[in-house]
Amino acid sequence: MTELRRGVVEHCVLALLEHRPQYAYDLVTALGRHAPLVTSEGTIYPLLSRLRRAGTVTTFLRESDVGPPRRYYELTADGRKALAEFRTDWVTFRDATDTILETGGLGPATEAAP
Amino acid sequence: MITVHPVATAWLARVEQLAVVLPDPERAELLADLSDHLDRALHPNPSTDAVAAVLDRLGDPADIVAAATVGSRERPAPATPPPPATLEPPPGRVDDTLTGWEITVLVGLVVSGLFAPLFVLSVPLWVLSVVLLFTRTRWVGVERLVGLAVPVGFAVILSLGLFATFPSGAMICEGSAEVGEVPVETCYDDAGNVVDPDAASGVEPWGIAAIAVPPIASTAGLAWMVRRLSRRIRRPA
Repeated sequence: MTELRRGVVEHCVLALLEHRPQYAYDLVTALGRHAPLVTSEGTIYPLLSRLRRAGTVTTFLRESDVGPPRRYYELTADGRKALAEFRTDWVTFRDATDTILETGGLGPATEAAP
Repeated sequence: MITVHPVATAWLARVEQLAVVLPDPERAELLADLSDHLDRALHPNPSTDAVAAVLDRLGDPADIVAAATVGSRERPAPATPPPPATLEPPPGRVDDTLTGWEITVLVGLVVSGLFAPLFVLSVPLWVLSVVLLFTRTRWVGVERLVGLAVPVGFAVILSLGLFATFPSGAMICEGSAEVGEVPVETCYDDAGNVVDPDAASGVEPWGIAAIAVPPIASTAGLAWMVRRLSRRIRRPA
């Protein structure tokens, strides 16, 4: 379950960044509100670093009215592509899982994503 | 860092202690992230309850470090400098964080140096590489100066090579009667003295050193530039 959750949460981060860059703290607390997705807020920071190393997100500093400059996360072109792929894959994956869970495999076969 | 509440400080110290398993840049980044989070989440002089609530949401230091250990060290440390006097090593091997422009500049600098005696090719290529070096790459300050000078080291190879192949003094050789199975060639210099052709075109040991040292220095310069850049990139913004 941990592996599955990690893969899903990584793409949820990409989705949160789809429309605008986000301050790391806001991103973490936003995800933290979805208890089933994340074990704790603290574990999201390593995940963000990993996404940055993978090149799906990038960071920049922006001056803040209070305190030191803040680190913002932003989606890269690769990140957009990964998010688009995940959207398609997720729907077919979820439907196939639902079908099997609800019918015990007696329902119709699910088509793979194009 | 503003957070001074002893409970928060102890919690951060615990993360730091457990995070020794992480590579230095990743550990530093994680601690910076978490301490920034605490600064943001807590008002100055927070109550112990407020600190406890924030730390509760952040979670167990062991879980956080475990999450950071997953997929850590995905990329090995920067590759060791390439063997001397070779062309630019394949980009992926040195560091996949180099941009296309940066790779272009490195290759341009090396090629312009290698073909230095062909001014028609080398001079425009060097000028172009230097312009790109200053405008399209992330190298700064003294790194740019090193890049500027890199072709000089490689220029020695072909220039001295040509010099060694065509010595300044003219030499006339003629094939003569064979002694046994071995064809004998006799050579004369300008003054008509007999000279040994092998000795005339041979390269002295110091000559080999003179040819080898500058390219090695230039290769080291290139490796240094790539290393500096990759270290800077890896340090979080």
